[in-house]
Amino acid sequence: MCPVRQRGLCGKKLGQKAAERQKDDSIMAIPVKLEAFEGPLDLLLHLIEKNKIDIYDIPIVEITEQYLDYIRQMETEDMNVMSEFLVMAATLIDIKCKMLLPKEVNEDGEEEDPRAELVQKLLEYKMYKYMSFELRDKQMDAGRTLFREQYLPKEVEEYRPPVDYEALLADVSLSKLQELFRFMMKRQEDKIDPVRSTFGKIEKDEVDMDRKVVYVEEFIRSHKRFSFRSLLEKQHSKMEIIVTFLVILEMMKLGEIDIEQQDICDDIIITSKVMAAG
Amino acid sequence: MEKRKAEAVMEAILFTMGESVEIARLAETIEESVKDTKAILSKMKERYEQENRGITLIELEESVQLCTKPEMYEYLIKIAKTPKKYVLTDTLMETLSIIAYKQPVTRLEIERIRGVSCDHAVNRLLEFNLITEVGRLDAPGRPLLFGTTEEFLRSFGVKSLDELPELNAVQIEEFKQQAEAEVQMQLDI
Repeated sequence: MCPVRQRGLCGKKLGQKAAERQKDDSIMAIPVKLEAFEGPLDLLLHLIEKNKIDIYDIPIVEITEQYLDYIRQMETEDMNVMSEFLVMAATLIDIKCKMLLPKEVNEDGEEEDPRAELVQKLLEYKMYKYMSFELRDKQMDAGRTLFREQYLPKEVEEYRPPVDYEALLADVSLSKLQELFRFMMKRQEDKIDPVRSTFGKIEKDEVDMDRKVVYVEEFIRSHKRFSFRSLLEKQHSKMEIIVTFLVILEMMKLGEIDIEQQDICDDIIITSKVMAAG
Repeated sequence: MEKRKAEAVMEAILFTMGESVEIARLAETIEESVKDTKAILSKMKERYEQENRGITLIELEESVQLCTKPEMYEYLIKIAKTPKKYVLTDTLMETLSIIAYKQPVTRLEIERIRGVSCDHAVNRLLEFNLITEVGRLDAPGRPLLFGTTEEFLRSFGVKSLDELPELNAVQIEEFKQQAEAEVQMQLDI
């Protein structure tokens, strides 16, 4: 398979390049797809080392291809990790583009090398990777030294130095104690809400609204047409009168009863509308 | 306190405690200045090293601790049940080395250098007590800062952070050239 042909570049050069690539492919193909990398920089370093054979003759196209190839095959499901790799891929392509354009000139009049940042990053990473190996060596050496676990005998742990009462009570006098006492008591008083603390218990309503509704409905059903006064006279307490009145108002609102009054201050006649309907 | 007696007292304390003891506390106990105490401890260590002893003193920042000599290790593993040394993976080692050299450092900075998220690594290192929170950065979000612990010093056999292996200038230059060549190669069209 010749990948170059698929890219559709022009004729003669194809043949040449293809032959070279064929040779290079066997060297540059990523052997083990199962290798896990710590991150994009790690992968990049790996690819770079693998391709060390002919440094100046390997175009960025190849590296980017391999990089993209690899991440396509990566079986990681961790989107966080994947996204890091993709960011690097985009960065590589971005740098590639910048290399094609004339270099930007910064405020000092110097040309900015688009690769500079990446070199810096790679350098820093390389440094710490190297140091981690050094540290690991040190860890191996230090592993030969053993220590005792912490162990405090019970008496030592529980030891409390004797209490010096003189020092402890040096500042305390009787008048101070009294002051403190008064202060605390005052605080207790201040805490009590003068109004709310006098509230008594919460009591249940003497008259149950729902029961009244049932009563009035029953009354209407049996009387069909009656005077308001007659209904009220049947009630036993002020509370009952009030509740009954409220029920009548509600029924008026719901359209269950009709109200008539001939003259002012005349008795009010209540007619059931529900009955009229059927 | 008389020098020899002071040594004996400190030796007894260090043995009992097992753990590291702050030099300041030892100084209080033997009623000497910190400077003098350090001098006495130095002498003690010399004696341990010269005489045919199996144990010696180790200094960790401002504390001391008794420990076995490395030469004794082969004999010890036969008898004592040595605690399982946890294996640090490459990821953890890299993260740890960044923290060790750049402390105090935030998660974000670590991630910037490594190029990947470091949450898992940082949490593991915290569990192993090799790193700890050392404060917060005065910046939006007030992110946590991390640094190494005494346990780190012990595990890597360094007296203090100054003793960490250094990257010398020649090496840095070498790496720099390598990095440049690598990037050049990648991007050469």
